[in-house]
Amino acid sequence: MFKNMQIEGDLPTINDLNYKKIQQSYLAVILLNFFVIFSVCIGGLSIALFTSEDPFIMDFKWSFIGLALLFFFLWMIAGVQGFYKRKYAVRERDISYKEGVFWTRITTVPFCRVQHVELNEAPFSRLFELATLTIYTAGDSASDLKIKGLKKEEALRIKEFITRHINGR
Amino acid sequence: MEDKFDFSSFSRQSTKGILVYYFKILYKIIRVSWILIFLILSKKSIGPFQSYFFIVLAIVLVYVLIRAILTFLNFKFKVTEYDFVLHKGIINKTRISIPFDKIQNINFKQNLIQQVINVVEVEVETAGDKTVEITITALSREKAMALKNILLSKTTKISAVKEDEAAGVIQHISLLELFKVSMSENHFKSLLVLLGLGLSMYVQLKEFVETIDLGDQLEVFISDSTRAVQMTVMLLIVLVVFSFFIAVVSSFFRVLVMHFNLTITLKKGVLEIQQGLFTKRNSIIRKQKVQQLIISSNPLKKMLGISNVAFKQAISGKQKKGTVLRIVGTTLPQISSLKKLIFSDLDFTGQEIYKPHYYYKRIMWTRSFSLLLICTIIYSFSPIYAGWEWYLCNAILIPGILWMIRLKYNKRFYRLNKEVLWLGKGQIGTEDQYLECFKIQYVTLKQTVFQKRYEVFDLEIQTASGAMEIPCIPKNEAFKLYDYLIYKSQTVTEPWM
Repeated sequence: MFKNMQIEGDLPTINDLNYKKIQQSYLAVILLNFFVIFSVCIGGLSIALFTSEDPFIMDFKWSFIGLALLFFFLWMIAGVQGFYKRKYAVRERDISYKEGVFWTRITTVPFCRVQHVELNEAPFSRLFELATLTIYTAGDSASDLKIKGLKKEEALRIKEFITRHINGR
Repeated sequence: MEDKFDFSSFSRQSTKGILVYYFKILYKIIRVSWILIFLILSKKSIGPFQSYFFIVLAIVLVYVLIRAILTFLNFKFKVTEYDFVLHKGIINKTRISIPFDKIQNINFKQNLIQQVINVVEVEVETAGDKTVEITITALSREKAMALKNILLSKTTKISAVKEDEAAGVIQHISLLELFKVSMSENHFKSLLVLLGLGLSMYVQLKEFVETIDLGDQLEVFISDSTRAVQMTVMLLIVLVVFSFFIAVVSSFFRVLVMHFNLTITLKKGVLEIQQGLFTKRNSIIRKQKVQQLIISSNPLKKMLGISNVAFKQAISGKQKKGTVLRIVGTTLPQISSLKKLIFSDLDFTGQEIYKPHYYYKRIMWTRSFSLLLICTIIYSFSPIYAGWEWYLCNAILIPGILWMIRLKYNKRFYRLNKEVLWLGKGQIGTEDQYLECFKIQYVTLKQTVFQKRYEVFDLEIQTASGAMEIPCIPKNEAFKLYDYLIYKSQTVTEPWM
């Protein structure tokens, strides 16, 4: 049942896994989400700045807006860069996910430790037929494995696969 | 013994249970409203409110009594052929039935009231995604034992620890030994806990007290005393000595209350731990459920030849974080017999001791010295600047930091035999964590941009009782360990809890 798994020899390693990228259309979701937050924040900030009577704020309002724009620009760059780093791989007995630009993380969850699997569709993601797959274990729930931006059929397929594994054990 | 009690039809708890419920409900009410009570009582001129207050008090007490009786009357349980059935709830009726093979543990507990009226609280731990916690508040000891026996006999799954071990007391702690333990505790930690408690109570009180005149007086008193502290070094020293004394006393009481009369016995392959002064706890340790074993010590404890041991156990479901069972004053031979009970293979001879990469030291240096630098700069330009002499502090601080980092680096290591992962860490104290490789939930490799240059990773291991981290492992080693842990989790067929 468990092929080519010998302690003395080489264990299968995650180092040379074939990672798949998440759906390209998820970039649009990231950008959409970003622009919603961006417009709310910048809008609120502008109203606050332009209605203010404080002489200090009146003198520097453009610098404040510039600073905010710079901050959002950097945030967007980081978000887009981060998108290209999100990759996942499903093996026969576990699922791996990696992400992060400045702080990279690789996580592997063996199917035999999965408690349950959840599939979520956020409003923007539904527009592009994307889904989020969350895998729960008995470990720390804050950092359970969460893969965003999967094609819905793919997410369902993985969910089915894991569920079959759970029920089969 | 089982014949004495009939569990096949519904039975209630001991009638004394009403008393226990009474105090439990009363305690709950007092806990949420103690500030209010304090406020009412602290008013000097209650006047017309006084009679009012006692009427309210009487109503509350009667309400509590009625509620206690109703809770008691509505609590019924029985043991059927297949499961354990429990009905409870006054308005919200709850009916629980637990199949025998879901029952994981049966623990006894006695708080002060339960001790006085001689009843025990029975906790039934269960497994499964959605955990229901079952507590039977008051049973006579004989009935509780009978219930435990009948449940245990029907539960095939309970095979606590290895069967072939000899029976008997593994550890029993005397008052003198307990005293030694408490003297060698980390008093600094007790002090911090005490300080935090005091501070939070002060803040909580302040908000309420502000409205009455007492508040101002208290405020003046406190600010006066702080000014006085600034003025005299003498007072400061007295304060330090005093708080140290308080810390020692508080650690003594903490240890006494938690671990009074600690007894560890091994009966029929079941490891049983009994301890506590006001609340006597009687718990069973099951090999299967133990996720991590943590042994901690410090130089003082080492001199006395004792350590503290914590069993980190998994709790099924997502309700609570894993439960930690702590015992104290365990000697080396006792530790090794405990280890032998929990782990199948603890032979680390010939296994390499892996140290963190040199980068681990480097990042600690960078972090602490940049913090120190920032503090110094802020200090230099801030209004509290008080002359260059203050910089001399750094002459003591810098070697101190270097020494602490050195200690931390030197005590960090990990070792691995085929079954068990052993992590060592600590600074002044030492901590050894043992984890059976296959009991991992999942693993994560983490790397910062800076770590990338040195090709090192942090490895985070998630278990059902919290995470453990191994910092700064060189790349090849990290991937090898990662793959091995996953391999173990997939191939070992033993259940992880």
